[in-house]
Amino acid sequence: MDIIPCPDGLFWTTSIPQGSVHVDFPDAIATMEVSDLAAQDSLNIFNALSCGPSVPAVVSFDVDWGPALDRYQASDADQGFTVRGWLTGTSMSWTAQSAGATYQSADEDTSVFALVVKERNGRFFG
Amino acid sequence: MRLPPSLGFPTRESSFPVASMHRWQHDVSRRAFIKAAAGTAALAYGSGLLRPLFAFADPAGTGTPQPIPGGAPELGGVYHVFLPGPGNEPSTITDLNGFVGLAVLRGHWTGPGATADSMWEADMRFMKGLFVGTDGRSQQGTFGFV
Repeated sequence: MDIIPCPDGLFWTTSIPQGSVHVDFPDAIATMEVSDLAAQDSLNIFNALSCGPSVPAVVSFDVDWGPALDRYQASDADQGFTVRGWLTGTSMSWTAQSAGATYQSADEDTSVFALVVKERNGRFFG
Repeated sequence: MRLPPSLGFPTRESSFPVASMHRWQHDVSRRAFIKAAAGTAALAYGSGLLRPLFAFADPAGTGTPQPIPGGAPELGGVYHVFLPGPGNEPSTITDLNGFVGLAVLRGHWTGPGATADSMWEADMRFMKGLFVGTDGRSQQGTFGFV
């Protein structure tokens, strides 16, 4: 199977308003709240990874981290990063508009894996 | 904390050594790729999968971060992201000294075509703090992996 690198650079990462993220690190609490973020609906993962056709979409979301479940740290000299912080609980609500339709999360969600950490990588590692 | 293996979030250390990455790219099964790729989905629901629009349309320069080196072996190592899981790098930008939040969640969604069993999955991350941009300057920034 051929895997096409797209985008060849930052992966699905975008600048968001500074005030959209709040971190209370000692208490292992964080929030990320973004409204009306321009997005693309790629319909499926293969299409998204190969930068296939997409339709314009808008998404709003509110993600909460906390409380702390356990301490967490990891480091990898080869990759050049170190993190320390917390494994946490998390919850999220979202709304998306795509192709004239509105979709949204229902009330309940399930946290699978979440963390809030301080990270140093690249030239800040070591 | 370890994730149940059925959830498909393998750690980088426990999966494929870099030395075998090239060979793996040719041997990977479609099923394995689907399992790994699903762990990368930013926000997937029903027949929808959202990703940010033109993450950085500006020319390389002020305010533009650089991607982390390498990427998930499970995805062939060509995408600058590691799957969420113990031991894996959570940030998608390098030269960062700041906070990172990562959340993998599942739930039900409502909307056209939804049924009682319609599930969404998301891998949502933020990076906030000091970073060195493509222009070589240190600056403060806030970024979302969506």
